[in-house]
Amino acid sequence: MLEVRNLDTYYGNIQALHDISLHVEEGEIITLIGANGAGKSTTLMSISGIVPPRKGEILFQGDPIHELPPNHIVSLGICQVPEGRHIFPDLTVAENLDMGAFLRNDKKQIARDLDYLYDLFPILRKRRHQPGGNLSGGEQQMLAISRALMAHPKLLLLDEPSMGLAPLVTRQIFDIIKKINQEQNTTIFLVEQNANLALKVADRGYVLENGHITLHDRADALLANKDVQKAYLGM
Amino acid sequence: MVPGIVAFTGKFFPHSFTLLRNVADIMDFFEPDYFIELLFSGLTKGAIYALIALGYTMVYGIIGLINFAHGEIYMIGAFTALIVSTVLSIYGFPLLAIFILAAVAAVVWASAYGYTIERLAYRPLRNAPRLSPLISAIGMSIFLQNYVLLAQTSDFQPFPALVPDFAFMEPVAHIVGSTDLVILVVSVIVMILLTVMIKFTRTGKAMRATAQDKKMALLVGINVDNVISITFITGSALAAIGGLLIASHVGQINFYIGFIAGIKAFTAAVLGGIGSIPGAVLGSFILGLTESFATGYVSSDYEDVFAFSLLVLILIFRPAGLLGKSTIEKV
Amino acid sequence: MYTEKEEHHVLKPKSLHSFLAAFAFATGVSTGALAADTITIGVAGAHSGDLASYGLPTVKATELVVNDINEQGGINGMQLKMLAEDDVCKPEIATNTATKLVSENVNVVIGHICSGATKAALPIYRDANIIVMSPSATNPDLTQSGDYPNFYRTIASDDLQARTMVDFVTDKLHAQKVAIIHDKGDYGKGLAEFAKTFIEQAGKIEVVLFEGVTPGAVDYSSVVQKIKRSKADAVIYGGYHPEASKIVSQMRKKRLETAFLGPDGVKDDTFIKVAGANAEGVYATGPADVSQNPLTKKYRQKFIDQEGTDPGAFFNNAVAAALALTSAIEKAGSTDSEAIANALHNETAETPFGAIKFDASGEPIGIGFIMYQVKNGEYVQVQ
Ligand SMILES: Nc1ncnc2c1ncn2[C@@H]1O[C@H](COP(=O)(O)OP(=O)(O)OP(=O)(O)O)[C@@H](O)[C@H]1O
Ligand SMILES: [Mg+2]
Repeated sequence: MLEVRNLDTYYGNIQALHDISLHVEEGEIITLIGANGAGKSTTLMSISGIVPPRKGEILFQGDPIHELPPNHIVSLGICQVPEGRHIFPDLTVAENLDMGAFLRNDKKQIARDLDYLYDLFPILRKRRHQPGGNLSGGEQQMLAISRALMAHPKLLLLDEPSMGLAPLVTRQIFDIIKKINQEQNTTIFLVEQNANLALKVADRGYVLENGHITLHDRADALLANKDVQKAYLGM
Repeated sequence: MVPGIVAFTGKFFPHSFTLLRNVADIMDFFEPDYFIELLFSGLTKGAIYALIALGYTMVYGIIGLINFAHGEIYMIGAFTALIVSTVLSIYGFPLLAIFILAAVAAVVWASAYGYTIERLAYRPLRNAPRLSPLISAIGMSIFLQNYVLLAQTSDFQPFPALVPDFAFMEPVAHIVGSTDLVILVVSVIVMILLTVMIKFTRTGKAMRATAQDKKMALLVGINVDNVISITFITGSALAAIGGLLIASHVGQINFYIGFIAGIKAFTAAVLGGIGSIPGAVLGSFILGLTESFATGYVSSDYEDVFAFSLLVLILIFRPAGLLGKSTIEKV
Repeated sequence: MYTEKEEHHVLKPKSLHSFLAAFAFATGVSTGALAADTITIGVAGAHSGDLASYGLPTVKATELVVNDINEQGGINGMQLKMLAEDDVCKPEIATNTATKLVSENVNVVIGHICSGATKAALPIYRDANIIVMSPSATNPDLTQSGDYPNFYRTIASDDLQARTMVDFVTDKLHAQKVAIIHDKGDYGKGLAEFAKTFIEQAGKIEVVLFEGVTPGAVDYSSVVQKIKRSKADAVIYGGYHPEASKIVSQMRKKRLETAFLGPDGVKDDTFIKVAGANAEGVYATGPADVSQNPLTKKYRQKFIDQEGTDPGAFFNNAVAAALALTSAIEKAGSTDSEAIANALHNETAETPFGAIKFDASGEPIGIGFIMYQVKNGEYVQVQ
């Protein structure tokens, strides 16, 4: 579904990604784990077209997308929940969700999706007229995921959804990620520092170190990998 | 004790008489009729500032840039209206038709300028240090002034009264003129339309989203470049309407009007909280009314002193302006 | 309308002046006796630098008049000679210029051009007892201070417009209350202040409002309301036409028909063009039209023939100064300063402005401002 080939991405003169290659199959959950500053967020931003790669290519369903503008990439069905959630603080919860469906025109289906999400996160329904900025961190994360789902993505890019959340909330969020993947058949590309959790929900995983992919395997294999255990699982 | 009480009442009563006299004095001083006249002068001024201030605040809200060339857009709108109305009156069009066509032409032409300025002078500097687009904006302002100076000379040119004297306004003409009324009404309508657009339309929501978080706006699929262009076009259109109305109010224009009006409107935008649309409107009316009452009750010599003291005072207590948001982000 | 902006004049020790003057006087006596068959006219002003365009027409004007007179045999048999000295309009240089001219034994001086430079140079001429006539220095102080009895000018002083407006408001319009509005600029505010002083000195009518407005503002209706409340019978405005037309238009729109008077900065066709119907009835002072005067025509033509361009600022005033001085010397029959002064005060001279003479303070009688009024879209002289 998504194929990244030999990607080099730079911030000015600083190279953040070195020859990154990875692929995501339809219906999968894959995860990208790595330390702070490894280049995880950069990888997602390159895919979304916010920080376009200088070299290499990105194919989505067989077509190159690495030269497309971000809005075009969204319209193909790739949505991202960025690190730090990025809720529009002065838009209400309902308006934030509405922004997620910015490129859609099917009003009826949008209303149905909204209902589905409100059922999924009842707290959002309760708060729908409040400014997004007033929500708690966990609520904002639910809102951010819901907003991305409002676009009806084929591929959902999630950047550290567990960051700053209490374990209970984290578990809840991960349950929902799995649920979305299963019920809606949404492919998921999950970036996490909480490698333990990520590898437990994922099918496959990549390990990123200083902008290089150093490991790639099935999730359970990575969980069992000694190096991974030492570096990322705190064992 | 007793002398004390006598002294007390003796002190108290004359004091209350003075107080009463003071109230009468104050009424005398304010002169209700005169007060109302000044009120309307201030409102007209405020409406004029608001039409220009909105453009400053919208652009600032979206890309954090003080568009110094905005005053020049207003000036170009006024010149477009002048040229079009002059040509149309030669062909004997009725006044209403001239007014409408001149307004349309001014809006279209000024918007084209606003759009082009953004494309040429600001977009290439989108990721440059903050100072670069600011300098580019000042350069644009100087360029446009001189361009119109060369094309139109520095002489003031008469601007036709596109708003006629309405017969029904005659009884109150000594307080509110017909152009004053039209300026007030049009600016109120424009502000309502703008509010509706920002609040409820898809474009308006995209504008708000872009203003609040540009990166996220990109990630939900908003074409941010288009939104920025639309913002410049909208702001320019408002300035052009302002240009037409204000020029027919004062009856003359030259290349420099944008600079002077621009400074005042910018002050109003900052006063209200730059980046905030209701703030720009509020700031404009406060500025207009302050100037009017300061002139009326104190002296027009100090009109600007009052206006800028007010600005400084408000910024001391509310650094982000009256309705401005201090930029603290929740993480 | 022309006022020297830099009014700083250099104060030099009095003794130095006197010393130089005494020195010049001594040499003057000796050479004056030797060269009694020529009369030397000094011409001082800005002949180079930024303001040369104000000074050079004076040199040319004097040259034209001198040549004319010499061709006709000079004055009482004596030939005229011209000596031009540059002061670049700077007071500190003007003192040197004056000293130089004095040491060259000039009989009279035409100059200087700028008020500041003139003021600095005058004590030197005074101490050498030389008559000076400026075609362009408009500062009222030069005549009113009484410090320079040797000073004359062929241009109206800055306060004359204010005087003309105040006289008109008092005597012709019979106003009781006057509002004075100005644009806070040097020209406008200066004029407004003169008008206020004149009205208060005369004590016949009252100034009910004195206010400065901000030039370029989008709206003057608050000031207009204030004028209305003041119940003024007339508005005297100090400033230029763009603000004047906005204020008048807003007065008329607010149905305020009070008489409006402006200075020569308002007596501009653009004012009528811009204010349109609202300009009707507005008064403005301006110099009399002298373009049809035969002397104006004659010297203008000579200038154009020789220079190929129109004469610049103060050319007519310079011709008038040259003609007034030479005519006074002729009538006095001598180059003695007392005799020349006497003639200047008592005998008229024909100039591009018509016949003029000078009052006791050295101001020209016959050069000044007259009142115009807009009628049917044109400024016409008020009878
Ligand atoms: N906007 C930027 N400008 C310059 N350098 C940047 C920028 N964003 C990231 N970087 C650099 O690129 C490298 C990769 O950063 P990135 O944000 O992709 O790391 P990450 O793996 O997401 O880290 P974290 O787990 O802390 O979120 C880092 O060295 C970082 O300093
Ligand atoms: Mg990251």
